[in-house]
Amino acid sequence: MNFISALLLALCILCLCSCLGGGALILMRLTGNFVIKGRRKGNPAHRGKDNAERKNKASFMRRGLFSEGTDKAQKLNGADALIIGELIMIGLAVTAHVAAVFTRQSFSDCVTLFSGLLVVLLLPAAVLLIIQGISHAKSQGVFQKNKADSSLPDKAKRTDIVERIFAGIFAVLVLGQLIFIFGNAGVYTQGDMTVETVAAFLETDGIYLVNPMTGQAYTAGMPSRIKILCLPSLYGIFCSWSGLEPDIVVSEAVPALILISSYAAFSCIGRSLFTENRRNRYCFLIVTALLMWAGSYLYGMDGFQLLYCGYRGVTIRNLILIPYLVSLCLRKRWKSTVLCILAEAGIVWTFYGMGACILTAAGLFAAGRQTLNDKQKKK
Amino acid sequence: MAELLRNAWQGWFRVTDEGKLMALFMGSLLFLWIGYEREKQKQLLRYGIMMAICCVLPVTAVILMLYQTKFYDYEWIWSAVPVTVLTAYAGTKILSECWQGFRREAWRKGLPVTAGLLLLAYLCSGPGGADPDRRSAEDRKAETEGLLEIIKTEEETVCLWAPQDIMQYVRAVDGSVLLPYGRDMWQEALGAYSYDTYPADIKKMYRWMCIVEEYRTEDGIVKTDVLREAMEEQKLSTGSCLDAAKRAGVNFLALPDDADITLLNEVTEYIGAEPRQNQGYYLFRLKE
Repeated sequence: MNFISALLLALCILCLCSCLGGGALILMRLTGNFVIKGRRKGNPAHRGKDNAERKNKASFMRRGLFSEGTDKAQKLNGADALIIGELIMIGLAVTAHVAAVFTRQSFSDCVTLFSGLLVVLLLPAAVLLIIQGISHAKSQGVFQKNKADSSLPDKAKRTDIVERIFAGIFAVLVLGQLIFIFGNAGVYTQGDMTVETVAAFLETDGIYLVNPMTGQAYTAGMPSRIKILCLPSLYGIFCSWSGLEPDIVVSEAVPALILISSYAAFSCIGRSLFTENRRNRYCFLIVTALLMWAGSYLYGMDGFQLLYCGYRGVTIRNLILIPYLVSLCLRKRWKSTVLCILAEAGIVWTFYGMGACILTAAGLFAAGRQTLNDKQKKK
Repeated sequence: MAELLRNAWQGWFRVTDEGKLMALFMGSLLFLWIGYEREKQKQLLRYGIMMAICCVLPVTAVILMLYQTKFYDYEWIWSAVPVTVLTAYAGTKILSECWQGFRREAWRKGLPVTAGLLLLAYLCSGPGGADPDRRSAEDRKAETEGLLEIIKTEEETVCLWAPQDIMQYVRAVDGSVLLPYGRDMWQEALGAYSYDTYPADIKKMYRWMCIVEEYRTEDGIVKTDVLREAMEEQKLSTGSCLDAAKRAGVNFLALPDDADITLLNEVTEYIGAEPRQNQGYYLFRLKE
């Protein structure tokens, strides 16, 4: 019956993240509109000008955290909300964890701080979502019976039979992977001590008071760069909330959450790669899911990480942060990539290096510039 | 630097030897590169190709390994390459073209291509390669839980010394149980998480336990002589190791029930109390 509790926990965290991210997206949209309006007001010279050329040049660079995006491909959607919510949650976990480590607070204080910060952010997010929901419902005419009827055929048109079949195949593949995660006790623990660390935090009610491997006090201490990584605290917080064993949370609930989030990140890429073709997007997700199965044979491959060690920082980086960062880069939302880069610093031991996200963002930026230059030369 | 170069060179073979998903990725890159002029995602393709080349060539791979500051293995430099994304992108493009935008009428061409791609993915995956030891891991964990349940009824503060199979799950199963040494003793990578090192006595205890585990009685064949030789070779004695265990605060010792009988007698005599047999182990209680 443990898997039901783990599944419920994963779903609860998904809902929390979606709510947080949804609120953040609405806030971004509002702030973006406000900033754009302010810019237009402040610079009347731009009002009557033909902006096409300027837009083209600027669109490569200026799509930032607070802009909405002009075309369909650049817009942020539900999958973005989930991942942004998770990035926010990682941010909160880093804050609470680092605060507790450096002020030598107990682990329960860390839990309280994290929960407090989460509630403070969740309340306005929920309010924004409700307001948005009501205004959306009004604009769609949900409250007026006639309008509601007329909107049905549009929706029906959007999903044809092939898309439904594809969605079904994808759902079956993901479900199979979820069953695999919940039914598989053989989590790959080589070179990793997350479960022991979480158990030690809960047992001692302190953060790194004892060596997780032995339970004895540290004699020479540990590297500070590792000390600030927040995942063990975050998983410990999930244990405190749910009352589940660290083993269950780390090897079942979190990998399930990461699996779903990973496909959300890949769906963002699919949306960027196949802007107008929903069939291709579904096909892209199906092929991705199949590749995950196929790649589960070797340590270090994406499939292996997702199915055998979904709780690790490197898995979150490789299967959520980097795919999401790629999708942001394809949408030319360069400033938003900072969120992924910071999240990586909080969850993966990059030693004293800068991490893979910044490398990917820089590489994609350079490739994008090169492609733009080539286009201009051809013209 | 020479070692890093060797790692980079061997790393590539390690990645490509067991399964051929990397070959599928390279094939995908080639397919996308052929249609480069018509390609809409030139930015992603250009980046993917550049990074793949950097990861394959040993010199650039070494630079990337230095960038990730040597802690992580070669495999991890591929994190920066969107392997799955580009392979899935190429797969989708092929399928979409063969099915002519996924129209049912195009099944004559689409179906064989789909079947072919599925077969290719299966063959490239190295089926059955992952984690063959899953079942026994589950069993050992259950064994550990059973053993800890018994121990915890006797004493609140437990410091357990046991064979590796038990020791590696103890801290994950119950965070309150202390160990004289943990998984970081035999999994070198874990040593990077702490500046602590084990004293010579504790290392001696670990070596002693390894020998005990290695020379168990199998099919009625007693290996006392070889066990003695191995102990002498490593300058280990049961008495000194048990003393070291006491000094380290160990209050429970678990030995496999098929351990060498002479050694079991020696331990029993030294401790001065009969062990209890449970879950396939002899459980000794060490007193101060």
